[in-house]
Amino acid sequence: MNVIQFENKQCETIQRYLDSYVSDELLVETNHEVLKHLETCASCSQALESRKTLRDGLRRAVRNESFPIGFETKLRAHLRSGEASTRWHSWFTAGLAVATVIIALTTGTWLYKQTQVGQAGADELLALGLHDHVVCAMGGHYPPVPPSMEAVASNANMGPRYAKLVPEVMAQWKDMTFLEAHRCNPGERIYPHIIMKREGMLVSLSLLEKQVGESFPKGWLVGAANVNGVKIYSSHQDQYSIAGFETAKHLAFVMTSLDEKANLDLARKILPATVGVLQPMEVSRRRPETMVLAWLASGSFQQKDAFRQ
Amino acid sequence: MFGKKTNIEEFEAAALPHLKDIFRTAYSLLRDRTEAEDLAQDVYLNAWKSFHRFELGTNCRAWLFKILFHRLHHHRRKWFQLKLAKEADTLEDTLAWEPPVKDDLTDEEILAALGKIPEEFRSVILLADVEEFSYKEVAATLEIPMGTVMSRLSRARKMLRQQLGSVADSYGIREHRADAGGGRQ
Repeated sequence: MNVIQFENKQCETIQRYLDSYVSDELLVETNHEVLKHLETCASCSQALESRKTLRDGLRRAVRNESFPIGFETKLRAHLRSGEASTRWHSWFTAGLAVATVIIALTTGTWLYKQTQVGQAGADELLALGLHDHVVCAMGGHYPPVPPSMEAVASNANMGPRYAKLVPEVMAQWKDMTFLEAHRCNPGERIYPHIIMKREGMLVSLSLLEKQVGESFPKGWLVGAANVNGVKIYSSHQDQYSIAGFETAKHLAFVMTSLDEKANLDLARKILPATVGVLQPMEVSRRRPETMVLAWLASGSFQQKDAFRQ
Repeated sequence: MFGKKTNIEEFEAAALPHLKDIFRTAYSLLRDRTEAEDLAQDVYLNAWKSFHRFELGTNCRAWLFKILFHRLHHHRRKWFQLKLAKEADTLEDTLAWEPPVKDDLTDEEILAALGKIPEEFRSVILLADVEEFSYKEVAATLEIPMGTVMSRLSRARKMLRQQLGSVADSYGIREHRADAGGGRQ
């Protein structure tokens, strides 16, 4: 709103503010003053009429513009289709969100169960290795002076095939002292077993020939690490950490009193060498002609057994 | 849009009564019926999208006009900004006097004159004189200060008078009034 103080009849000043007067934007008292001036000034009254004529003419001309036929109907249809799309989108989005949550929960639960079941299966196998470590190594079944490599390779100890693993272990676990390498039977089964020592802590690498059905669970979420495509499984029991992996015919276990991660790192280090040493034992060393001779000697009923080895 | 509590019937009841106002303002600004239809439709689709933010009972008409100018500027900013500024300067230089307005001007003559006014001035005169918004509402719609509304409206009317004065010239009105002692006001 504009308040204008009139000192004299100043037509130019009044006409400058006629626009606000026409738009009815002046305060009451100012409006009154303008009206009072207009009563006595023909020139300003004419200017005012000119503005009103123009405003009314403009208003009429614009409002007389024809409105496109069917535009409102078309617009309504657009709005409705937009709303339908929106509603569909809303329901779809809501449905999708609910479905995603359900799938996530179901999958999560399933994976959790699978992981739990898988880990339980792994723990069962890992316990086999821990038995050897606890009974043999922790039970002090190693000599005060480590045996020579020749003694280790003798059939009375590791035997020539498994003995090759000892220097590989010593090369990988350089910060440890070799204590013993032998085949032991803490229970019903025979374990090729290497015992090392690091700062007063005993470290075991035990092997075990697999029996039928003995294998770590295959679930993709089970397993703590993967080295060269071979999974390492890990667990912890009492003060011991156990890491294990398998080849075609063997289970291998690394056991210490370290935490699980440090123990797993030891297993990572030793895995390639262990697999490399075991590999010649994983495939049959019998040549085909030997197997044929064995078949001839033992009869046809032994054929299948011969090829299975 | 999920969780929106408004419905299309509510929106149509509040907004569609102003469709003619929106269309004719769009047409007066664009001078092209197809473009005006597209713009009006764009305004309503955008209004519907944001209708959940509109408070029922407040001025729906003013809200729609605000969207109209927002959409208009959104589409035309890049293309017309330079041109509009140049046009405005040119016309300002020519406003040396205020010719009289012929009483019986036709709609076509008035609309043709309106079409020659730069858009920033045309917007103000359309909102204030045709749509009868207050200065305050025009300022809010165009997002400009109220003082700017007043000056633009004054200049827009002056430009329009000048344009229509040219029409009056063609009818010999100016010469007639000058002879009668009228002339420049």
